[in-house]
Amino acid sequence: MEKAVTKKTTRRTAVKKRPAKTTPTRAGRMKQPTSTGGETVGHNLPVAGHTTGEDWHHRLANHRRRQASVSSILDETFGQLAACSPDLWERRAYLMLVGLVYERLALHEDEISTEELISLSKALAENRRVELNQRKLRQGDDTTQAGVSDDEKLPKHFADSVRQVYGLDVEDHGETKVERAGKPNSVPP
Amino acid sequence: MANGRKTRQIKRIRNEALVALKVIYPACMQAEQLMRSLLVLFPILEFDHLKRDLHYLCEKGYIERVVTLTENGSGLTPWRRRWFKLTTQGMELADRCISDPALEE
Repeated sequence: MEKAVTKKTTRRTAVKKRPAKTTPTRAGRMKQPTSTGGETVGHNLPVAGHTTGEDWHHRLANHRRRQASVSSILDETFGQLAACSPDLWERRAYLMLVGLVYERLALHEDEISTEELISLSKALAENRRVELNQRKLRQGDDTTQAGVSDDEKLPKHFADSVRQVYGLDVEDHGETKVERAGKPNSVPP
Repeated sequence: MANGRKTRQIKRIRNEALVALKVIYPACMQAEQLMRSLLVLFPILEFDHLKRDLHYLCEKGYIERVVTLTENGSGLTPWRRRWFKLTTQGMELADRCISDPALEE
């Protein structure tokens, strides 16, 4: 797997201007670059491939949006990441996979657009929420010895809400189809 | 300036390396993957420059190298295949809980 990684050719994307200050909030979720309307110090200096400041801000803002979505997807997919110490290195493949997933999702804008990625992360989060709710309901039913048939159904207007917000089909005949949204092709542009 | 690079760009590259590692914290990332992720923002970045920055961040205590059990001699592992992760101090810096004038623009 390592060989496959190292053999990949590096992708050089056209970058345009200089970055704004950003404020990290939590892993991967960065606030958008703040406005730098009055900034003049070094504003005209060419950086990162002879690009100008405004383009760079735009580029960085887009990259931050993408990173935040990737972070969300990693959280939803892998849950809490295991501590990465040599003692736990038997999980090397797992940790390697995390890095590869990050790289793949964060960099390949031609394969999946940022908008699709954001929709995907939201759909995954929604799916996880539904699963958790169903699990809670199931646990509650186990304690009360009640059936689960009615409780497992999604709320009445859930499908409409999700369709309006994310443009995804969630429900059909009482069965959830959120998982289909995990495939990039099923997410509308 | 270092190796023809401007101070501001050096700081940006170091900061973006911390951000990328923060996304996957506490997992780690290979230098090659880090390099590719930085190329999106810094298309003229060279690996030797990143290597210097990784050295710097390691010595500052913001990132640390993770040596795998399969690495016989850790010094023999090519740089591109070495794994790095944020330290707690690096996480605090990336979260802006602490500040480092050397990395502030």
